[in-house]
Amino acid sequence: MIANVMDGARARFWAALGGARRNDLGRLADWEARLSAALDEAARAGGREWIARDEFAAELAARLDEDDEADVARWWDHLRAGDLYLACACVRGVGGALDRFEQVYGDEIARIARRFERPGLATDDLIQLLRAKLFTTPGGAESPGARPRIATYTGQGFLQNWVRVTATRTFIDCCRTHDEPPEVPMRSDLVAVLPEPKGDPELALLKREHVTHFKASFAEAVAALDSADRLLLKQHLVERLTIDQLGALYHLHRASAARRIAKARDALLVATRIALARRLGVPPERVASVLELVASRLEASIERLLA
Amino acid sequence: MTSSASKSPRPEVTACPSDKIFTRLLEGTLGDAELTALQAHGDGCPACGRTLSELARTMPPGQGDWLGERFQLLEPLGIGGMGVVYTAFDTKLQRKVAVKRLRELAAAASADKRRARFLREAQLLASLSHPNVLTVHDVGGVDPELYVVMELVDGWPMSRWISEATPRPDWRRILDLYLQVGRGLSAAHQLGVVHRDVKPENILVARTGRVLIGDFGLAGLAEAAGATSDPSGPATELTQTGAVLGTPAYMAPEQHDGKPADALSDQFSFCVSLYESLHGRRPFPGRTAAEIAAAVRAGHPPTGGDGIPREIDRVIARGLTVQPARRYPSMDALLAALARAGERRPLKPVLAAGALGVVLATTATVAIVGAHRRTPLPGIVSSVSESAHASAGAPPTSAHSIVATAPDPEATGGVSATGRPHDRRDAAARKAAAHARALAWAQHHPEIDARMLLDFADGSHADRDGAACLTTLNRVPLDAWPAALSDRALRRRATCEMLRGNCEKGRRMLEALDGATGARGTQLANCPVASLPTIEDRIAAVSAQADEARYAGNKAARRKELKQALGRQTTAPPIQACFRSWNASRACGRRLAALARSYQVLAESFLAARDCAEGAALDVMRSQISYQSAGPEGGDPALRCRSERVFAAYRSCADAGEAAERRCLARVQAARRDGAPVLPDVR
Repeated sequence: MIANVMDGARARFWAALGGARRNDLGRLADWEARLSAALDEAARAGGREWIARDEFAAELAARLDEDDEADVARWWDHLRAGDLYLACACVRGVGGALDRFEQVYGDEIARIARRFERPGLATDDLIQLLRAKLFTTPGGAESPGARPRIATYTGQGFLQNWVRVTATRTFIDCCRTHDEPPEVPMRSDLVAVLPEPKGDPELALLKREHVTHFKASFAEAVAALDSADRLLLKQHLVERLTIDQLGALYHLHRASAARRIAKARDALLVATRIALARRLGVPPERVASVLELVASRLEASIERLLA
Repeated sequence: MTSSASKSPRPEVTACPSDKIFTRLLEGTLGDAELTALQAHGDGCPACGRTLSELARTMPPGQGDWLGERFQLLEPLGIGGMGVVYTAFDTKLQRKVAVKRLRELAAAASADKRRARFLREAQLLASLSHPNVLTVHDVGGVDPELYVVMELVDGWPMSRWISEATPRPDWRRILDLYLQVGRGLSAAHQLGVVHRDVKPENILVARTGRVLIGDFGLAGLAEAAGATSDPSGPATELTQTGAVLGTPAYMAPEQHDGKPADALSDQFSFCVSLYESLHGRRPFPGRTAAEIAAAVRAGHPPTGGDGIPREIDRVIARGLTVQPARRYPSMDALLAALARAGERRPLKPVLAAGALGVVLATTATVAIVGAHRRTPLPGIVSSVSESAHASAGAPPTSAHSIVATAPDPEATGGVSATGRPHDRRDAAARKAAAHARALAWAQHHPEIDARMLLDFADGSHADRDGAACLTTLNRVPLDAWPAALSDRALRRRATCEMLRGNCEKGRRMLEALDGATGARGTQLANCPVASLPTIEDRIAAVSAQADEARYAGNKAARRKELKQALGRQTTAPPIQACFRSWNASRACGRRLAALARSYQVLAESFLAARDCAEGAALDVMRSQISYQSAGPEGGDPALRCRSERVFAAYRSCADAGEAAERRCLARVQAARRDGAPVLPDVR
């Protein structure tokens, strides 16, 4: 009996699969065992009655077909069948699945939503917006081809992470259309952020005279930075993300994250120095004193220039 | 440098990456090229840049982090006072493990030593393979973070296991589990590792039925960070004011006093846990650390009831004795007693044993006698079960059994199973005589091992009898101590030398073990106050020793002695040293010089406060001193807030001593406001 069910599911899976993928699977010796394990995992993850076993097998085949992952073995490795089962049941509007989703990810969503709360946009409103986006078909049920957002979850990677990504992106979107705060304008007068050198009138003069050059050199150096480094610096200095947070996001050890940030900062300083020397035509040691002057406020400058 | 200086340098913006790419970023399955592309896009596209930043901000704490090159954190299992526990994947051995991350422990000044001790103990534990001890696979980490990699156990903490089981587990089952856990604890003690925070939450009952104790030594580490092991509730707030750490409800009195925990403290905590698990309530009630501490000091937890055999409660009660020396000398002794108490619930009438010889001959009966008799029989020293044990031909397990088994022709009373003396009139004299007898007895019994002698020396030390302690220790030549005990023996020898006034000698011994700072703390607690060279040392020593005196019998006499030793110095001492001893150095600012005199006033009122309210007033004093040292207009806001809270907690104490101390404080404060360091008249 069990074998029959399995055979039925396997047949549905195979039938729903495109030719290219059939070839790929043919080279994977244990795909049947993997399929069986995935179906079992799905059955454990939710109510058995949510989606029939062979129907879910067809869903799996569809995801595999659509996916751009060339390596089928890797596709199986990253497949979270239980999570996908829940998501598919949500697409079908199964009550139990929707409840489960709320139960498992509700807190996470609320936690993220609270970060975007602002006057006129309550946390609950944000959550409601997200729910609508996740579970309802844009343009109504009749619109052809349109599917709720949750249908785009491919089962590759944990649903929890996918939910975090969609929630964050949706909320950022909401805020932008709602009332995006104006971007911090770049200060036209950098003098304000540079410290007043005490007891060194010559330096003070240099600073006043060359502030335009400094600004230009700095902007040039920022532009010349590697874009990944620029993002990292911006996130660390302007957005005030900690080394730990960055390390966790990019899967870097905290020491590596710190090293990369320090490297980017050094690169920025060196590039500024070179550009400034070229523009000013002053001896390098003079450039050094100007830079020292601004180094203490470099973070403030970066904030304004990168924002 | 090809690009010209432009106002807003932005690369070409590519199409926004899919949800899947971001999801894979979080999973860590993104290839290098894909990651770089995503970052480059995030640099140019404000919405995606912000998405990345927000994702980083809402990252569940620690998820995805690497510990070293080998362990990647999976998901948080729980958060404790000492750090977050995660499941993690061991990439080398391809298995799931539990990882406890201990953060920012380097904050405290004394952290290094404790870290070193913790690492040493963890390494020792890692070498211990015991079915009832949670296996430590690895420890490691770099400043300021430590991590401990442990076996991942599928189960529940003992507390939850009991509360969620229906019906409630039978006492026999609970006792059986605790006996197993006790064996694990004992195995660790034999390695010289002290747990420091035994409580039902740290005992795991696996689904398989196995029971394990975990989290060894973490409390000691937390001490270094000024953290507490239990972040919730008002009780732990209070623990931060003094050097008191641990989980108040389970702490031994000596821990409440800020003294380092040892195997006997573990025994106490073990007994509190067992009592709670059996009875469903704690032996020492209280909502705050001070209330609990007061209950602990009052001693005598209620026995019987809840269907628990009285014999078991009696054994537990001895483990809960205030004086460490009166508890069972080791976990093994406690476990043996517990096992015997649990084995039989005799209802048979008992024959009264008339003579010692009879008692010793009938092992089984003796325990029954011990359990059922209300008044001790003359001529019998009744740590009964242990003497029976010894008589059966097996060597006694401890110094206490030596006391118990040594024949005592003149004995007129004894120590009951609860450790309560029946006759207090000349308890000290009787005790000394018993010790002497036991030693004499031990002389003819080569099987007495070093551990017993050391237990014995510990007892003498607790009585502040340096000479007796050294006599005991001298029975084993310096170089003949077993390796596992040699540190402990050396330390005990040093403290006992200090007790006898050989301060310098003791200090030199200790420095080799603990370094200069550690040696100094021990010195303050042990050396005669008058022998200390500087006033600040004397003040610190008075405070340290007065703490201990609270548990010693002759409190008043000791106080007088201490006060005399303090003398009446009027010169301003280099006060930093004093403050260090109060754990307040970090709050000391420029005002120290101005505080010098007022500090001495505080120290004196500190002594006065001891008379009235013990722990409560003491904590108030401590927090006030911290508060004072922070200065009226600022200092460390956390410290300030804490001391105010402590103060508020004890506001109800309308004790005369406290009132006097408050008056004194008010005067000090007034003097400081005037800017003049006037020494007010306390009397």
